Amino acid sequence: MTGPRLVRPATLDAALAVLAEEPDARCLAGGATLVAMMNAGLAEPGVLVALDGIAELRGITVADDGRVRIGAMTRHRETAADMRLAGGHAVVRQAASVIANAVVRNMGTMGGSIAFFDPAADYPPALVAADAEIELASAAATRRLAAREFFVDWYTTAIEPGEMVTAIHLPPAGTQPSIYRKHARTSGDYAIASLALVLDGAGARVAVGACGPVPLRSDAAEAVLAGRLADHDAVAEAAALLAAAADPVDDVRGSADYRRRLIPRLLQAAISELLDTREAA
Amino acid sequence: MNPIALTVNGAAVEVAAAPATRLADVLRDQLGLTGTKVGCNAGDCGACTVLLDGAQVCACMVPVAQAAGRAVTTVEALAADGGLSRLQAAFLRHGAAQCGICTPGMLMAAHDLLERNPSPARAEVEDALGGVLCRCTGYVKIVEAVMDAGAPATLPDGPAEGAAVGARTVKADGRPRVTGEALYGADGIPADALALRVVRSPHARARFTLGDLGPLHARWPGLVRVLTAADIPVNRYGIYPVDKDQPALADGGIVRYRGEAVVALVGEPDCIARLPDAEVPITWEPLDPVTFAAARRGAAPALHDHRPDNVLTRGRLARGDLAAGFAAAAATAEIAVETSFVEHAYIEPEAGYARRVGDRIEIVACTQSPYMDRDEVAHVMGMAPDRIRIIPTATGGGFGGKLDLSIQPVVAVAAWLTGRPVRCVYSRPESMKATTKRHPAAITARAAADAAGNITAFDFAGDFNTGAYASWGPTVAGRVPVHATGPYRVAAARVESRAIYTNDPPAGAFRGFGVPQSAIAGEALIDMLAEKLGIDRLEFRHRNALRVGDITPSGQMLKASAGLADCLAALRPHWQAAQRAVAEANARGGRHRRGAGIACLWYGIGNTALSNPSAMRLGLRPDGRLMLYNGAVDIGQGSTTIMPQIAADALGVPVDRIDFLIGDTDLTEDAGKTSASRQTYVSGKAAELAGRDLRGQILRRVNAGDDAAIILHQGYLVVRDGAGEHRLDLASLKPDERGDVLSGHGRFDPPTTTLDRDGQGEPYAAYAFGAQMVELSVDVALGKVTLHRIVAAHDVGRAVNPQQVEGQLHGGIAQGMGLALMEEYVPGRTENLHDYLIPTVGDMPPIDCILIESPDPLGPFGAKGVGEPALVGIPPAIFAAIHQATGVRLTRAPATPDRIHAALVAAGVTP
Repeated sequence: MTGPRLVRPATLDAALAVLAEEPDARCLAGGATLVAMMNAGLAEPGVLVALDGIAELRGITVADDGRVRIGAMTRHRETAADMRLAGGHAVVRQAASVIANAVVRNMGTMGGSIAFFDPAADYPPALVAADAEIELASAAATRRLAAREFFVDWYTTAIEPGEMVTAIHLPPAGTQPSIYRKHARTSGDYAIASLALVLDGAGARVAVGACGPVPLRSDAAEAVLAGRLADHDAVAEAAALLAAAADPVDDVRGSADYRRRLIPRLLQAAISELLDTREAA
Repeated sequence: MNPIALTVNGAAVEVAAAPATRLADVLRDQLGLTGTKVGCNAGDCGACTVLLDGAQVCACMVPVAQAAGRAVTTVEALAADGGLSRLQAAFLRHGAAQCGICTPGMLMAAHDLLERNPSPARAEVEDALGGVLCRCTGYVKIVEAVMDAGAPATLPDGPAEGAAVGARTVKADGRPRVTGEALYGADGIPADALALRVVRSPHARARFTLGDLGPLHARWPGLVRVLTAADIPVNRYGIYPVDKDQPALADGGIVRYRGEAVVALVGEPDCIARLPDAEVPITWEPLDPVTFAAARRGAAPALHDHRPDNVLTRGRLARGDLAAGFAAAAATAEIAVETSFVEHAYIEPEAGYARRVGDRIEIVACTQSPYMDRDEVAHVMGMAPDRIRIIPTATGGGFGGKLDLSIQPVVAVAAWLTGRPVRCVYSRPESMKATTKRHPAAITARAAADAAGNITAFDFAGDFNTGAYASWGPTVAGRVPVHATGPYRVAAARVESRAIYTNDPPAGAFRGFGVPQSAIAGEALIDMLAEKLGIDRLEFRHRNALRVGDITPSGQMLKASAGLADCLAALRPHWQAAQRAVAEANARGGRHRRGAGIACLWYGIGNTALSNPSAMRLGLRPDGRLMLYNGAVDIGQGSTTIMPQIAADALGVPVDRIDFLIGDTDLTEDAGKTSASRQTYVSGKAAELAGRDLRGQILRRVNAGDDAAIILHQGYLVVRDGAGEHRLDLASLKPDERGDVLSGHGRFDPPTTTLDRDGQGEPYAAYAFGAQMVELSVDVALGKVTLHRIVAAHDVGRAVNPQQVEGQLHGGIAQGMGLALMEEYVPGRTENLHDYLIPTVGDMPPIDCILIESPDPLGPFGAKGVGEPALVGIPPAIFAAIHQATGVRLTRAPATPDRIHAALVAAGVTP
């Protein structure tokens, strides 16, 4: 069997050059999803651009002002173990720590995960709640996109042909806590529903995962929560807004109705857990 | 293609492979390192876990070019110089390997952890192993072994003569399982073998026509042959001698389930791998499938001409005056229960090869029934059975799913017609689509008890979805009536069961044959009666438990070995502590509600009211070693280990003097199938009789008394009794055709009677009993169950190897958890191991096993069986605990979070 050609460039520019030249090239990050799909006959790229030799795509840097850059090829295990991702960034670390299992966390990368974009995966709601920006590069240009705009539809992102995810940027976060909570059938499964919550001033940013084509964020719900996090009625009102905005489906992990009902419970639990954490601190 | 240089197990290698060739394939096919297994090819099972630069990865998802210049470590490198590493030795000491198919992956995942952290905490071990699935062990002994891997790499000495039965001897076939040397179905395939891939129906019910194959052959020169139904000499097989209904390849232009075999492509491996199904000229005309609901109502077209009402078979039991039993009741209860298809999900998909040897065919494949395979393949080939030889490979789990034919008939036909060895290795989705499942059940039942707490009546009707073909449907329909009441004294009982054809996958044998499904209904009724009468659930069971001297609902007097009351007594302190914990936890309120559940079980050992003999032969070699010709295949449960234990004590020699041959139908005797929890009891008895026969022959030769000791030496033996020592020179004896100078033979067929039309008779010679309890919490906001602890007390007659008994219990309990909480096979939707979930290491609660030994007078040294009983009580105990926690009685398995949540909402427990 010959299968696709595989190139393993040493630099980002070389990788982007291949993407520019080869229309049926696909980036190979950790392989945890793409190779499984190839094994199942669901993907047949002509050229695989293996990114694991490109140093500039690896690792997490934290700037003096608190900005964080996570290279696209950073493995889930590295992200899960990086305790500099604290406060408002902890949501991203927590999401990394509950992805699948140890072997997948060794292989999988943040860039690969979000580029594939399974709406039941863990990073998308965490990055949306963290107000992350996704850095995209092509041979022609580099751009940044808010996570909310990056995730477009089921398994669809804003990545254009010839582009790849090169990094994820997190804005400075305060010391206020954040949390990622996943409700799954069993340890290691994808989420039935998940919720990422970042306290922000007197309010919070909330993103719900696995309850629609993209991570669900509601400006109206966040407006209700502003200044009223400890107010049960406000939380219930915000939860109702989120649940109403959700667009879940029936699948093997749970029914749409169940998912919609989970949203208020996940929100209430996450807020009370975070408020307890904040009080303890 | 350019050679790719990498380091494998410390040695620099260059491989000529396409760059995207998966590392797993390079290791296995090019470097011969078949210790790395492929269980799913999707990163779900972890069987292919290796280390890449010291970190665990799935070798099935790494293109080999990505490993260029890097260091790959496989299971073969763990031990140097033919020894064992500490971790491997710990696996053997703890009995952490059962079938062994997951063992290399487990070892590598653990090795990754231990290299970074030599003394990990339990949570760290569980996290490190989280990506590797095991279907046999419930992970308990694996975690124990990893936590004990710091100890020296030593193994305990074998037991002395006369002390093998009851000893925790190390698994006799364990060493090749921890070194990666054991060869499973896909591991030992000849390099010149053609490949065979079956093209399967994408429709549950359809008509099809096969077009001209000429263009396909023209496009694919590597395609040697396309097998169709016309190539199969006798195109019907099935478990039972009559009404064989399953074609090896679909014929008559009709398919009856999604996944049914239609044609088989045979050719050069590269061609067969690349040739897409879509190029095979099959035209489909989909038809509305016959559903279980419609077939139950009798409102569906017939799947098979010989069953116009789609009822494959019926089972029945009637005893006592049912009406009087209900009339006398102080309490009555009723319930309706539904269960789902459950997939065996052994980590080894079906695999093997066939080759033609003169006018015979040899099949080398994983299996749990070599002799049945021989006879069935002979039937399909239209040949006498002695022209078929089955050579079982190591088998990576079975649980009933490798009793039926899978690859065997098509590779046999292909090898016969082409004259070349032909291999077939199922993919994971193919294994899930094509092979049998646990029968979904739809049960209604009611029961009554008098004011004193005696069960006065039990009335049960169960329909079982047997799918498109009969398989083991009659066994389920026959076993259920005997067991449906549960192991209780019941004054009057009526049980009716039906196995019903549908356009679903064939339901066959799966650990328990309908008894686990039935127990969900029956044990719920027991709880409801106890609660209505205000009697503790354990005490109600203890009062009604079948004991020696009682008559079962099938009219059988239990003459011995009925240790259920002892099991319940052993659980009592745990149960009472659990009830206190429930009360304390729930007094605190909150969304996490605690509950405990208990269930009893019984299980008839061996076939139901049918002969099921086993034979064993124990030969004495001229060099003074012994050879056990053991036709019982070990699919992980441990028969290869315990048969020598039994034979050694029967003969009176240390067990380490016994070598063994397993399963080869040319070299062993028929020990039946590894099923129905029968190998310990039936084949074990044959092994005991073989040992006693050989002992008698030796003692008679030297005229020694019965109490004499036999001491084996190199080339001679010494018999010592009160009269002195007798020496027998083995070289002076004439060897038989097997090379043995003396040969003991044993055969055992458990005494049973046929059942009359009311299901009355003695269907089994022995019954296993058990009582299991579960403690859990339910998060009522999310519908999520967290298991806290399981205690299982089992009457096993005699634990021949207590470590293996515990291993069977752990694994059965994990499968019971899966059935209860997460496992549901839906054709077209859950055909892989990420949508279809089985328990992972993180799902397992602590498990305590309590072994009760109430010896069976016929069993070998008193032993019975334990394989299937292990899971029967867990689903009803989990459902009962959820009921105590929430007040809601679930009636649909699996109780997934969304189903639990919906039931809580419907009951008003959760807003």
